[in-house]
Amino acid sequence: MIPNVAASVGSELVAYGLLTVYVHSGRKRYGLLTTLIFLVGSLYWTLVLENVGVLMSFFSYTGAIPGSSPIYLVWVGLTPLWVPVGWFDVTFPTYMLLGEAVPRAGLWTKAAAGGLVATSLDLVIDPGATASGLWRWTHPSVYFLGVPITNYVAWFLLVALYIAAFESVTKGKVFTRGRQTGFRLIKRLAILQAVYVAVYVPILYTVAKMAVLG
Amino acid sequence: MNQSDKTMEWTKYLIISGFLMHYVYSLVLFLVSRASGGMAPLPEVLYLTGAGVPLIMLCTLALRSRKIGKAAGGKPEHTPSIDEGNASAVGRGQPPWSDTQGV
Repeated sequence: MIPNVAASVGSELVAYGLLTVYVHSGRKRYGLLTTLIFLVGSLYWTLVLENVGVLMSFFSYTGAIPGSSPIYLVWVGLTPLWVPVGWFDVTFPTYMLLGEAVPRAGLWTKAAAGGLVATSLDLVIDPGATASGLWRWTHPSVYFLGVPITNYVAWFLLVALYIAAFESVTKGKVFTRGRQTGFRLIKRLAILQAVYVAVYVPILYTVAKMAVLG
Repeated sequence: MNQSDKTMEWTKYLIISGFLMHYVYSLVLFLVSRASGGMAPLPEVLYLTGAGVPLIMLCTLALRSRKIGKAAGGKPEHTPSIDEGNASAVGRGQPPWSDTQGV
């Protein structure tokens, strides 16, 4: 096991470093306003759900290894800020590259493809992060390489829904009124958060029950 | 290739580099974390490598989209996802929903 502190600091630096690269690239491609709307929307989307996850004892960001305490720079509630930033670091390039690779794909095709690609990256991110003690899973489930399989369902849903929401708000429009577009996106995300919790939590509890019984 | 096309091109390379770097970093983090208990078993390494296939495919497709445009001798195939609303902006290789006028 590598030192918990080294993995914590390294991962946080990578997350903020990639954020800088993607915001810079996004600003050059789409303009600062559009990039910031994507960033703020994604931070709102994940920070709320991450904090709900910690509150419901699905996972924890403290004391991942007995006697350890990851050193994270900034916390928002019960979640270190670099975690939602890391989520943006996966979703934003996925979205941008989909725009290049399949520019004429429909909204849901793009959302599903985005969900698939982001989940495939998380198949690598999560086992590494869990093994390094960056976070700790705290609920019964079916585990693979230390990660509950429901986590991947969550990743697919979160990324697909976010891309669908962003695309549906921005499609065919010129961003001249960023604040209005931003509010529209946040409103849509708030509704989707309720839908997500209503769909995902029963899946999670069903798998947990199966794991306990099985 | 005008200035705007060049910007689109190098930002694409930057994004792809960042994306692949993220994948490699996660892979290394996992392998190093497991190294204290000996090397990670081969099936795990194969699984982690295979997991990267969709994202490598996406990067390849994104790179190819440009090459096709060049090979056809026409305008590069950069058509960002949200491009239906403003034809003049598309012509400049600038997403129509962008809030900048040229880069």
